Amino acid sequence: MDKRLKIIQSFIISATAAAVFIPLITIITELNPAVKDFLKSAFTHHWIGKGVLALGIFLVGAPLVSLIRTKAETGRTSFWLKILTATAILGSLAILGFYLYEVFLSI
Amino acid sequence: MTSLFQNLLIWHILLGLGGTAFFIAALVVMLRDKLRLKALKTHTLLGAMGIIGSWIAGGYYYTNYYGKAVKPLIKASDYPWAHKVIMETKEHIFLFLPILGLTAVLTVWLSGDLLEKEPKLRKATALLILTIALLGVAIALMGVGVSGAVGQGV
Repeated sequence: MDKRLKIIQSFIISATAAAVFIPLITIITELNPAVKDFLKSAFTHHWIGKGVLALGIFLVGAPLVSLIRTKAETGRTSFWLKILTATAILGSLAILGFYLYEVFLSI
Repeated sequence: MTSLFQNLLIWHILLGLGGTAFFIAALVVMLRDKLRLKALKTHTLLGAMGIIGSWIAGGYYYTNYYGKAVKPLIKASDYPWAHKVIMETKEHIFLFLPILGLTAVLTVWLSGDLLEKEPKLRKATALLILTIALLGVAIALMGVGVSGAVGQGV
C-alpha cells in the first residue's frame, strides 16, 4: 500500500505544481506579449502551449517527485489533496480576478 | 461555420456536461455511508474521459475557429468585455480540469479500500471531486454567457 500511496502522492504534488503554473503563465503572457509570442511560435497557439506545459509538469513531475525519499501515508496524502484543491480554487479566482481587473479597473 | 466546427462545438458541450455529471455522481457516491468503490471508480474514469474529450474538441475549436470568426462578433456586441472576462477565464480555468480529473482517477483507483478505512482521505478526495464538479458547472455557465454575447453580436 505504501508504494501505491507514494504514486498517488507524487501525482498530487505534480498536479499542485501544474495548478500553480497555470494562473502564473496566464497572467505573465497577458502582461508580457513576448512570452505569449514565444508560446505561439513554439506551439502554434499560446493556449496549446500553456496546456502542453501544464500537462508536462503533471506527467513528468510525478516520477521526479517520487524520487524524493518521503514516507507516504494517508494523512500526508490527504494533506496534499487539500493543498491541490485550494490551489486550483485560488488559481481559478486569480485568473478571473486578473481579467476583471484588466477590463474594468486597469487604466 | 463548417460542419466540422459545429460538431466539435457540440461534442465539447456534450462531453463537458457529461464529464461534470459523472463527477457529481461520484460525489454522491462519496457522501453515502457505504462506499460503492466500483461505482466510484467508473464515475471518476468516465468523468475524466469526458473532460479530456471536451478539452480536445473545445481546444481545436478555440484555436482554429473562435479567434477568427467568433471573437470579432463578441467584440462588436453590446458586451465586448465578454471575450476577455468570460471566454479567456473559461479557457484558462479549463486547463486545470484534465489534470484534476486524472488526479482524482489515480487517487480513487489506487487507494481502493483505503477510502473506506480512512475518513480523512475520503473527505479530501471528496473535496477534490466537488471542486472538479463546481469548476465544470462554472465553465458551462461561462459557455452560456459567451453564447449570449455572440447572439448579441450577430
